[in-house]
Amino acid sequence: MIAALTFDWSIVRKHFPALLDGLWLTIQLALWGFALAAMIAVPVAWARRSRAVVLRASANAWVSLARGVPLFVVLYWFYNGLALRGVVTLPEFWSGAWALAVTGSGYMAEVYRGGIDAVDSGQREAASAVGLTSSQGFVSVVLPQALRTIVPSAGNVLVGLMKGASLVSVIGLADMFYTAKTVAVTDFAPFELYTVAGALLVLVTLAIAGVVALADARLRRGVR
Amino acid sequence: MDGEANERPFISIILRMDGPLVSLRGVGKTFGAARVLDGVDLDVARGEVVCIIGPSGSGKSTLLRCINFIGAPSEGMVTFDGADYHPVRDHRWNPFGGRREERRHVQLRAEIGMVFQHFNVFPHLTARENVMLGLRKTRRLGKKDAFRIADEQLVAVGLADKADQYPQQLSGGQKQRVAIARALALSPKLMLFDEATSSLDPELVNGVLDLMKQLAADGMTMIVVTHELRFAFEAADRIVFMDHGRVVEEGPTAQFGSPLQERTRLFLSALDR
Repeated sequence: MIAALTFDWSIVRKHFPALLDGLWLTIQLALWGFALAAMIAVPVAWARRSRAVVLRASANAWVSLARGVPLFVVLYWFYNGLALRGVVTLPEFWSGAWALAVTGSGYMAEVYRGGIDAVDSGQREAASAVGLTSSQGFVSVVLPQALRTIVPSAGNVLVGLMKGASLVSVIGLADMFYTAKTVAVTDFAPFELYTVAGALLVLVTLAIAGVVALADARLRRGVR
Repeated sequence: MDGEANERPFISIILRMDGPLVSLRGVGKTFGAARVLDGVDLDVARGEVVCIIGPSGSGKSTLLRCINFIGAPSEGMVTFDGADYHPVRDHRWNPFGGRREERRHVQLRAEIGMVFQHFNVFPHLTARENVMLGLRKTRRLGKKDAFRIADEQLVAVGLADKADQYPQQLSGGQKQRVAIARALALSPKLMLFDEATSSLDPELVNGVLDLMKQLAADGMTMIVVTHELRFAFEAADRIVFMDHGRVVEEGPTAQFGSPLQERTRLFLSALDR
């Protein structure tokens, strides 16, 4: 009992540099995945709002699949599946980034849609009433207001991807949890490194929340 | 807002010979199974002020939105300033269909100002920027000209000192004035008012109504959906009474002192009480 409650800092100290390397990898993966997801989600969100049935249905299918298929499976598709089918062989890092991007795109498409839907329809009507085309109205009237909802939710998606990135050790990427797993086996210390890795991830999450809050305050200036 | 008030009868006689500015023929609108508008015919001459009255849900607002195609009609025809506009075709199967139609409707809306019940001012823009947006994007004016015209319009609606404020900082009446200035800045040929005073605090209603009366006196063609009967009787050349998506009775304002239709009489006496 007592042994389980002690915390061996020496083992943390010994492997801390490796953890930080792993953390840096996780951050890079999540940021790339997020950036790609944010881009993929734009046409998807646009298609979901389209009048055309075919576009709408395909986009809905994409969102359901991207959100529904476990990231674990998507990782294997990108890492092994594509290579085995001879489509393309991606390096581990990009397999991980694209897997996060695909999963994230489903969530981001929903975030965009939620943000746009949250803008009162009267705003779009008023933009049309002053002679703006629908794209002008979108850029000048809808989007600036939608961003106020989109930015905080996008922060949540980024945090989600950051945590999702902790799965990438399954395709052999040396992230924090890869280090933790190795140490758990070699030094027989499964508790310490996982806990510290988790704590580091919490710190990054808090940092993201801080950045989002700043961006949010900026967007609300004058409007509240 | 051009033309003196006392010139108005003369001007409207001359212009009326060109035919009406707006004419609706058999305009109908269905939302799913609900038939909100049922074959409405209406002509509005240049310089004329027409008030549309009627109970809630009678299709007044829907009719107004058919005129500038913010909510396109499902049937019938709208003629504005000599050009015909038809219901929008179904482009469900074609992602890129309807571009040309859409362009025509954008041009139509650029000639028609609209004021909404809930103001619909842009909350992320200052009062001046609200007015400037259409001038910049629709009229393609430079920043300086748009700025100047916006300030003139804000002065005209009595908001000279509010140009740099955001809507959040304005009262309902002030927001509605911004919305009116925003519409007038584009020198529209027609102004549509959709219950412009219905969501205002009672003490702010008259200020906005006075502004509308002034606009009417200046010769603007106006179609006004309103519950303010007194305004209708004072400012309108003609009143249209609608119920269940149809025009029940229409005629010169004086006619509504003793309406021809029983339904109209009931509605008016209910409001009087």
